[in-house]
Amino acid sequence: MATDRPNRCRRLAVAALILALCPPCGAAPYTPASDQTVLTRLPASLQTLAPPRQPLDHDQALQLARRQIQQARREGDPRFLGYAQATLAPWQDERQKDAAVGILLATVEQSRHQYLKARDHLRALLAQHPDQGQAWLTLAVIERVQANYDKASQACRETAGHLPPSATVICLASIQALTGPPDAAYQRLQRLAASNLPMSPAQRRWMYTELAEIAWQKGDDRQTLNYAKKGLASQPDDRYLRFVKADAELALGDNQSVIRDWQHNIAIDGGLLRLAIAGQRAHDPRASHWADLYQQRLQAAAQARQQLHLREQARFQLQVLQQPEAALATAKRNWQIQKEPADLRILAATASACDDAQTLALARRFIDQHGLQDQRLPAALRRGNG
Amino acid sequence: MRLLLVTLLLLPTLVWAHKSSDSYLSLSNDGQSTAISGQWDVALRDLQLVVPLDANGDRAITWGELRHQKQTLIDTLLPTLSVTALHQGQRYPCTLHSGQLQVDEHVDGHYAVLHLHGQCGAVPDAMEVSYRFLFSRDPSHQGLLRLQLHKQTLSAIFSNTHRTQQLTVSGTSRWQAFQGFVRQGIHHILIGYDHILFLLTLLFPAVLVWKRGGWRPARSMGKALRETLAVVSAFTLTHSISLALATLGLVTLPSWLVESGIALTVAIGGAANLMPRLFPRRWLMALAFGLIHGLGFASVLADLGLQGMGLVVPLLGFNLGVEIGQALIVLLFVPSAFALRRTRGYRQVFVPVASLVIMVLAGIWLVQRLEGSPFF
Repeated sequence: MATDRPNRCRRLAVAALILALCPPCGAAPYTPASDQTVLTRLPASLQTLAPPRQPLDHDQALQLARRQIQQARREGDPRFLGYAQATLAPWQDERQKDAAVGILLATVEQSRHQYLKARDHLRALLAQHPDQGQAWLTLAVIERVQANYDKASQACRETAGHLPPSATVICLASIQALTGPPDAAYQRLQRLAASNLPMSPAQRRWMYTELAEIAWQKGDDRQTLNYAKKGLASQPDDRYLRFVKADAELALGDNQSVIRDWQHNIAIDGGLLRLAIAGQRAHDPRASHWADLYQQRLQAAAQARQQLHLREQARFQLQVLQQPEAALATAKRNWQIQKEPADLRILAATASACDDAQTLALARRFIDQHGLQDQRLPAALRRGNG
Repeated sequence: MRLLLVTLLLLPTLVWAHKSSDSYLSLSNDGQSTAISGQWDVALRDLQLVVPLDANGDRAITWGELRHQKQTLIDTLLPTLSVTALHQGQRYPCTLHSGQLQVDEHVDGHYAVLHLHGQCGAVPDAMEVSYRFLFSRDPSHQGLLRLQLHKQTLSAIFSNTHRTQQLTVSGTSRWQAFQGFVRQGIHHILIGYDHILFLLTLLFPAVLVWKRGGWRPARSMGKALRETLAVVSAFTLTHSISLALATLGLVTLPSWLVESGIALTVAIGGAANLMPRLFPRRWLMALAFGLIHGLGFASVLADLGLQGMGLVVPLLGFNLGVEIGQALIVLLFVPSAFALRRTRGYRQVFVPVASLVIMVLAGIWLVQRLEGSPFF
């Protein structure tokens, strides 16, 4: 990984060239030649998951909103988050009283990276409904993303008694892995995987996701890939696990697998990013096309003032465009919003590419404060090789 | 290279991104006529939510299917948009029509393009736009507006919670710039501790009178206020004058001289409190030394490289900001000093000790700043 990082901060002409192709600013409107010209194919999901034309009854609405959120997460299609919001709109004002609605709306906010909003809403909801295990779990995830590990652990513990025990175990282990040597948490999850504890497919997937993440944190590419594949067995289109798998493959030098998995699936931004990286490394003739497409999406997002993928944007700027300065600026903005190990990694990688001592010191303080041990950080920032 | 071309031709049916729902609205007026024109790009996927486009239900939308719904589209879309021209404070609602439908490509696929034109009844010097499209079906939808008005490009984003926005050409930007300079002025005086310390040394004794070799409390609030007002007005008057003179380029002094001069005035301010008999009239000191501090304020504006009439707004704004910051300091300090004026602590410890500390500190600055002069 370190080899493709440029040593000095410089701006390359490539970047300027790509910036010049500014597509959202508008190709010219035109009149298609024939009535038969197909302009768009509507996703099949739109038929069943479109926002309702008439208000639904409460339970139907919950069910639809849940599926809309799942669709948004699976496909990375943010429109479905808006549809879920529309589906729940009649109960919007009762989100603190109606726990099921409150949790779903907080999940929508979390998916949009509006962590503070989601957290405040969940806390208000939990003050009235302390028995809502799912709400505690969502809160735990949000606190973890914000690096409030004590609060996150506390929220995990609150799930006990309201959710299956395996959920509490995974929740706690996922935080334990970030606040000291990750081995204990790793073994705990491995024991859980080997046990016969009943788990829903979603929970099992979550467990494998955490196992893959810890394996990655320990620097073990093979096990990361292994766990990602196990997680994908029950749901091959889990977007996040597919990203984890692609990252492991990139680390193992298996660019072709990444290209094979993603070349026909470039609607998903995170996939396109990994495709662009793999294509560049494998000298695929389509590599610059993929990089251009990703750049265009960043511009469209910037025009709409969306900042959803700052972490991935920084990675793109660092690894594909090789603009460490711009990448550092993006990684810093991202660090304001979320503080997961992956956010720290890109922050540290861009800071060391730019010799930014101040940011490196900030990363060092964070690591010391929480006791994070992460083999993916630049060598100077790694703690104990445990 | 040929391979690349082939793949580029093959790709377009697959390349569409998943993106949040945004429509692109552009409007323009030339600043001379009452006509407006523009175009509105709406994603077919979003349109499908309000107007059934897929007539044959094969989940593919063809140009023919879109074209046949043209009138329905116009009837559905136009009422969700209203444009009002503002002319000298009067409102002139604009009519909006659409005759032509085309398509365009954005990163997440094809968009229907409605060409718009309309009449406003007055030449707009500002516009108010209200946008209500799709919010009931997708509350996360946004309308991204680019408005071309008097050769300026203004932009706005409409969302479920911000459905109406006013866009003003010069007024808004000039007013915003003015506010920016006011804030800079406040910021400059609040972080410029040499200015604060100078002002404070002059105000320490404002609540006291020097009698029989010692500080006595002022008898009334009125007297303390008169003294404060005299000092502050004198300082304001002269620093405003020199700020203006320096900013307009009528007076130029090397910065080491100005900065050293400021340090010297602070030191003298401190000394004056220790030897009050030698400095009976503080407002005279404020009047004289204000000239030097004004030159210091000017260095901030000089860095902006503004010229001519462009300077008037920044100068007024910045000066106002400085006065606001100064008023804040006075309002914080004088009432507490007045409350404490009868205590020995204030008269016999705080005033002499703080004055001494400030004097020594300013002495150190003076030496440091003189080191930057050509004589060292």
